[in-house]
Order: sequence, then structure tokens, then C-alpha cells
Amino acid sequence: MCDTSMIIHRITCAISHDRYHNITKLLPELGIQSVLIENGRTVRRRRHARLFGLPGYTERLDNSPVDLYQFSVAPVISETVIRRLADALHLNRPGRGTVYVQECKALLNIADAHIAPPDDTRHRLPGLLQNLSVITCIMSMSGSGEELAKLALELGTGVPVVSLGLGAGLRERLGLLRITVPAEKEVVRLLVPALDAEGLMRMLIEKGHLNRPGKGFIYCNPVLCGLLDTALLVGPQQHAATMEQVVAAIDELEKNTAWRRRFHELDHDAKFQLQPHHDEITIICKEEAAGQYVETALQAGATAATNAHLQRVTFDKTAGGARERYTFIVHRSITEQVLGALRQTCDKAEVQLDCLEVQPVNFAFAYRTESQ
Amino acid sequence: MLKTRVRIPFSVALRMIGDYAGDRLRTQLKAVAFIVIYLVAFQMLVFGSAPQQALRMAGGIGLVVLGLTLFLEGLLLGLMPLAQRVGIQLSSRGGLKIILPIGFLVGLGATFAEPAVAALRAVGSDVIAWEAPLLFLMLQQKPEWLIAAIAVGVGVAVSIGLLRFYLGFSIKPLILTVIGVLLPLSFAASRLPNLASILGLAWDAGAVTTGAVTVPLVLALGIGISRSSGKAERAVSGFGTVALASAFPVLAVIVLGALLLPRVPAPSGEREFFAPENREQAIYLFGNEEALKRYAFEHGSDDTRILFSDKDENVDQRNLAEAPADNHVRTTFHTILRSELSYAAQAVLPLTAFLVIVLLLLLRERPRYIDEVFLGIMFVLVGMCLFTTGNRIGLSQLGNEVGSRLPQVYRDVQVEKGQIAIDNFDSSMLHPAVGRDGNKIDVFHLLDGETVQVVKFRPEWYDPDRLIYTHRVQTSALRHPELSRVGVLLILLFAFGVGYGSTVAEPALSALARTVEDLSVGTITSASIVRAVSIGVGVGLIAGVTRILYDIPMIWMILPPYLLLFPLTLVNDEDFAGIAWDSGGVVTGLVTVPLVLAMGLGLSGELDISDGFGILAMASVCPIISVLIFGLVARLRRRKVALAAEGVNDNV
Repeated sequence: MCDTSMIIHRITCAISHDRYHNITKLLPELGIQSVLIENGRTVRRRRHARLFGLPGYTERLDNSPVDLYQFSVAPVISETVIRRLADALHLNRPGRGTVYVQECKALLNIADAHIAPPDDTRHRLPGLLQNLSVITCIMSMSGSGEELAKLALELGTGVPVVSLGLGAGLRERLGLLRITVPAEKEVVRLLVPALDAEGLMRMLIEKGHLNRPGKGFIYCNPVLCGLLDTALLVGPQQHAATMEQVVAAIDELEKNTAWRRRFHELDHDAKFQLQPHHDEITIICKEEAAGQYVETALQAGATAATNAHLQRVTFDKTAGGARERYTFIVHRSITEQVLGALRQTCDKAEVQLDCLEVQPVNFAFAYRTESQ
Repeated sequence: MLKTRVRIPFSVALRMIGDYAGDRLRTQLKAVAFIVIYLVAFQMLVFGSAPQQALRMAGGIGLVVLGLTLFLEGLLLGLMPLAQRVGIQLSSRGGLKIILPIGFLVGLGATFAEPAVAALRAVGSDVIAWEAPLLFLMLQQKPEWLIAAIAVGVGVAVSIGLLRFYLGFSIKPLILTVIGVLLPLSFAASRLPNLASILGLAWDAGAVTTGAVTVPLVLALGIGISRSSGKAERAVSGFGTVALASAFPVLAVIVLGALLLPRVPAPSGEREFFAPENREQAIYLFGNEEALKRYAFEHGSDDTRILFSDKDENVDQRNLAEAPADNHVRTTFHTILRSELSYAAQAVLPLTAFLVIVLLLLLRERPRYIDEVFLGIMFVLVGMCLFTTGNRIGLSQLGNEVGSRLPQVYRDVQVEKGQIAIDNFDSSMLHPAVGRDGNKIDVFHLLDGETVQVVKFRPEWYDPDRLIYTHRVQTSALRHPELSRVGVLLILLFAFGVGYGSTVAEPALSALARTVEDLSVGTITSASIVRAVSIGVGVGLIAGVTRILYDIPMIWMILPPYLLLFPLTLVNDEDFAGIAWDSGGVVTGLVTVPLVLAMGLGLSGELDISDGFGILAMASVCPIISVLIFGLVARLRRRKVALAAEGVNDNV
């Protein structure tokens, strides 16, 4: 086991399922040896003219399949990689997809990419946005992700990306009675301007009723830089450019999204106590082999875990296949304790972890019972 | 996983279970509601009578709902996770050497476990030996060969399907090659009279073998393998094996037919068939001369009987009387439940046990939640038993009641509305009456309530010993001058409704659709898949019934849809190709087969057509077309939205 602790940059990219071949061709060119793929969907509002030429429009939500690609690179090359990626896939245009970079501390990582990509100055560098955050909301009731996505669209920040997950934690401790509690979760990810993140979170908590028991929880991670998909609304329009195109153009000029800030410090009421000082611990390993690790983490103090199925696609000779990722949100005071326990298990366990990463969480919120 | 349990107060636990069960029951109730309301409405509106034994039927339908709920929940809780885990472990630990034989054994076991072939025998029970000797031989005399051929076909199909996931190659060339071989073969077979007769059987066999337990199992196994092999690049993979499992048995049955062909006499007239010079070949059909004679006396005309009587005095008319008659023992709820339980156990337990043994002994792994898997298997077992019991006393009773009366709509015959038994009937009350042609008949006056009506006397309804006259009140099926055209339309409408309604309730399809929804993260909703498949089955039943009504040769029913499938499959996405071809195999399950067969049997029986084959084959090919079309439409819409989102095209 390589017991190192190093800073890496994790790149997450949500792109239409139709561009699978483009991206898997591009990544090895950038020196990326393997990528984790998760299935997801983006939700947009779609506006139709009414049937039979009746005046006005009808609107509904439209789902399109996306693949969530995730890979890690050395910090020095992350910007080059993301720019090449954004350029090749035209991610600076609304509707093409979302990409963002996050800084993580990797305690174990079967090194993904440390090879600097060939320096290519010919490509146009799209303006990357700084000062972003990613809000992740884990909704317990199936179908409630849809409501939250709709809400996010109405708030008009960026296109939400929804994926599926399974919850583990309290459910496991119910015995056979657990079958009455659905394990399926919908995970809604939303890339937002960092300045608005707190306000948006409060709004999502209130409108999504996350302050009630059993609804789910929400947290927000910092993002170094990225590109948002702003094609929130699809349909007929009367101007030379869509509002989304205008927004994207100004974003690019300004290099940030502060100019369209929605919330101010004064707006923040004390209705919900957002909890700071949390960390997100992520483990990834072969499918159906994580049981031991999850148990360890839960015993070491983590309250719940969210599981997702991933596909590891490799471009070299190493083995790909099904992977599963468990994410724990823990208070910073017990982070080291959980990490230590996980490392110990890793030393003894038969199946090694592919990766063990920690990332700071700006704010988290969950309904708390008295017992907690 | 965790040893520290949370104690839940009993009342809270009860409420949790109540919510959980109520939610599932409501979903199934909705799924079954359409077919029940449709059948009852059809009976009330078209035949103008209420269902008989309504209470018993309602109880049966209640059992159907309960059974389906348990069955589906059991599939999702126990069987599918178990099979998926076996798939994942097989691929990561086993490798090809283990995957191939296990796939073959699962296919083989599935065919033997779900005796759907019995359904095929029922359809072909009226086959006449001299009209279709090969069909007769395979169905009535060598059913074990037929089952073995189908089983080998399914076994090969499942192992090839699993191999595909392991190696990660596309389903399209595979399926198109298989169908590309099957179609010319079927066409060639249709030119030979004997082989032509088994085409319907062959194509139906393919549809029937993939039953309610097999489909989810094979599906989950495939998903497990394709997920863990790392070579499947697409989002929705793991589909396509069920389709192969429907196609290979067709090949197997045709090959078996071709092997048996040289020793079987050609279809001929009755006289020629029993002629002494053809005796040897005829005996081959029956095994021995005694059986041939018995058959000749049971089914032959007087000429044939004389032919045999001349040679052997021992065989006389008494043999006819000894012929096994159907004993209609009134079956009680108890006996039905017991027989269905053993049927369910046969369908569920061997396959599940096989998977558990593979997992525990060969792969040395345990299911993640062993208690859930166990509970799931129990649910499947009890659910299947309750469902089939409920089906026998409720749903298919209702289906039979409507289905068997359908031909009356088609043919301009009178429908009985009830009967009145008149005691102490005195034949001296009869009056002579005369028709326009001068024929004399007897009539009598019947006082019915306040009105007196003149009724024609029919001697066959009069029992002179007990002095009882049973008067049957009759009305015309539909008071309409163009009865038969309306009748045909009604039958087709009925066929569509039965196909649509029973498919909506089909648990295997539910399991497939939910898997699709999960794997596609909700971009393809399960409701839309179920709808597309159900419409396909409805249209398929219309086609199948048309074949029976107008006796269209099987090959003309198979060729056009499959030729249409070639381009549709080629242009569609890989995901949808797999899903579509699988849904063809899924539909012929627990709910569909009994209802559809009841209708097919009723129709072909009334119309003097030797076999009612083809309905199931049609019901399984049309959904493939409808799902492929749905896939194309979905892709077009997705493209349009993607382009519009990028601001390329604003005319969405």
C-alpha cells in the first residue's frame, strides 16, 4: 500500500452520453490513464408552443442522459487538462456540459495521471470561471430529486445533474425491517457561484423541506474553477441570442459569476443552522467489496454513507470494471479518527481501496434528531 | 453489516410495514385494474351479462393482486440481487471457463423448471395426425425431445449472451445474424409441407420459454457480468440475452423437425395415411400398432375403422367408449392451491438453489444481505403460488368466459341469456304451426310474467321421462345487420385490450422496466417502457388473431415484421436494441400466457383450425418493433433538445 498523503486535483465533467466516444478518445491523449464514469441525467426546462397553434407556451422538465466522468491529476497540470477538455468539447457554450476542478487530499490513490499533457498552444483558451461551489443534495424519497432539480432550475443558476445512489447507515441497523425503508437516493449536483452558495442552500433546504426528518441532506464543497452549463431553458425564443448565451458570454468576460449574485449577507436569516467544519471522505473500491470499510467508518463515528455505482474505464493495461464509491460526511473533529480506522482496515483487508480522499465541506445541513 | 441494532417500537414497525405493503399493493392494483375492468366491461356491454360467480372471481382477482405484489417484490429483493451478485463474482473470479457452462446450465434448468411447453401442447391438442404428422409427433408422441431441444437452445443462448457481456461485443450483429439465419431457414421450411406445420410451434416455443422467473434472473446475471467486466461501455448494458433465448429455441425446434423428417409420413388424406402400404411410417408416429389403432378409432372416420376392423376383430366400437374421457372433477380451492404451490416450487427453487450453490461453493461468496435474499425467494414462491391460484379462479376464468364467447360474436349465432325449466310440461299443449315453405313445427304458449309469448318447441330440450322442458332464452349476439364484420372488429378490439392489459400487469416486464429506469438514471422511465411494450403486444395479438381468423400461413406472419426489424435495429442505439429485443421475450409470462392462450384456443377451437399457434410469436415480435420505434423517437427528441440547448436549432 502506498501510504502517502498528497494534494491532487479532482476533475469532474458531466457531458451528454452521446459524446462518450469523443471523450474516451481525448482523455488518453491528455495522459489520463483511467476514468471513473457514473450515469446521470441533466434536467432542463423545455418550452413548447401549444398544440394546434394556440397562443402561449407549455413547459415541462426534460431529462437527458449524461455521463459523469471523474479523474484526478497532479495540481500543476489540472488547468491545462481542463482547458483542453473544455476546448475540445466546446464546454464554454451553454448546453454542452459542466466541468469543474476540486482540490482533494489523497491518502491512497492508484495514481491516475502524473504525465504532463503535450503542451499545445494552438487551442483557444476558454475563460474558466473562478469562485464556484458545488452543492450536493442527497434526497431520500425517489422522485424528490426531480422536485429539487426543478427548484434549482427556477433559481436559475446552472443545470442540475442528477445521479442515483444508495444510502447506508441507519437503514442497516434496522434488521429485516430495513426493506420497508427505500435505500435509493437521488443525488442532485449543482454548480453555483461561491458567493451565492449559502443563500441557495438555504433556499433549497426550505423549498425542498430538508429540515424535516427523512428527507435527505445537503452539503457544499469548494470548487477551484470550472464551466457551468447555463442552458436552463430549451425552446422557442425571439432574440438573436438566447438569454443563456448572453449570460455565458458575460460570465466569460468577467471570468466569474459575481456580477449575477443573487443573495447578500443580509438575506441570511438564522432559520437553518448550516453546519461548517465538515469533511467529505470518499472511498472507491471494487464493486461489492466495500462492506468492511463502510462498517469501519460507521463504527469510527461517521453517521451515514452514500453509495454510488461507477464504471472504471482504463486506457492502459490495468483492470477496469465495476467500482463503488462511498461518501461520508463527517465533522472535522473526527476526520482523522475515521481516516485512521480506514487505513488500518486497508492494511488488513483482502481487497484494497482504489482511492481514499478527503475534501473540505463548506457547509452541511441535515435534520437532526435528539439522539444525534 | 452492523451489529448494533436500532430497536424500533412494535407500533412503529407495524406502521412502517403497513406503509410499505400498502404502497406496493396500490401499484399492482393499478396494473391489474385495466385488464379486469376491460374484461368485465366487455362482458357486460357486448354480451350483456354479468360475470358468473362474481364473488369467487373477485376473490381470485384479489389473490392475483396480492400474488403479483409479492412476486415482484421478491424478484427485486431476493432473486435479482442474488443473480446479479453471482454475475459480478463470476466475471471477476470465474472467467470464461466457468461463465459458459453456468450460462448453459441456467438456460437448461430454466426450460425444465418452467413447464411452459405444457401450454404449447394445449394449443396443439387438436392436431390431427394425418394433417400434420411431424407436428403431431413432436407435440404428442415425443414431447420430451421437444423440451430437450428447446432447453438446449435456451442454454446455448444464455451462454452466448453471457459471453457477449464478458467480451463486450455489440448485440446488433449477433441478433441480426441469428435472425438472418432463422428467416431463410423458416422460409425454406415453409416450402416443405411437413416442416411448414411446425413453424408456428417453433416460433411460439421461442416466445414461451422465457418465463416469469427466467427473465429477471438472466437479466440480473447479465447486468452483473457486464458491470464487472469493465468492457461494456454503454450506460444501459446487460440486455439482449433474453432475446437470444427466444431466438435459439426456434432454431433448435426447426433442426429437431428436420432430423425427424425422413421417418415421418408426408401430410396426406386420412385414407392414404391409414393405407396398409404406409402403415410402417404411420406406426412410427405412434410407437406401436395398438396406439395407431386406438387413434384411428378415436379420430378416424367410419372408413378407417372398417379398415382396421377387417384385420382385427378384437378392436371394436367398445374401444371408443374406453377412450379416456376428461374427468371434470370439481376442483376445490384447497387442491388448486396445493398444485400451484408445487408448480411454483418447481419453477423457483431448483434455479435459485443452483445460483446459491454456485455462489457459495464455487465462488465462495455470500449474498450481501442473506436474510433479504431468503425473504425475497419466499416472496417469489408464495407470490407465484397465490397469483396462479388467483388466476385460475379469477382472472383467467373471466378471460375464458369472455374468450370462449367471442366466436359467437364473430359467427352469427344466438347467445344464451339464461334458461327456464318448466316442470310438468304436457306435450298435449303443443300447437302445430306452419312455415312459409310448408314445413310443420310445434309451438306452445309461454306465460312469462304478464306477457304471453309463442315459443317454438324443440324436442331435444324436452325430457319426457321427468316431464321437464328446459327453455333456453336466446337473443342475437348483436342486433346488427352486418354482424360478422362488427364481430371481427370486436374480436380484434378484444385482442388488443387483452394484450395491452395483461402486459401492463406482467411482473417480469415490470422488473425489466425498473432495471432500465435505474440503469438509465430515470431518463427512460419504466412507465414509458411498459407502455411501449404493451401497445406492441396489443398490436401483436391483433396480428395473431387475424392469422387464426383468416388462416394465414405462418411464414407470412413472421417475415414482414422481422424484415422490418433489421433496419430498425441497425439504426437504433445499442441500449435500445438490447432492451427492445429483450422485451419481446419478457411479455410471455405469468399473466399474458394464460389469458392469450385462452383466447387463441377458444377461437381456433370454434373455427375448426387445427392449431392456434402464432399468437404468442406475434405477441413477442410486435413489442420489439414498438420499443425500437420508441427508442428512435426518444433519440430524435434527445438530439433536438441537445441541439436546441446549444442554441443551434430553435424550432423545438
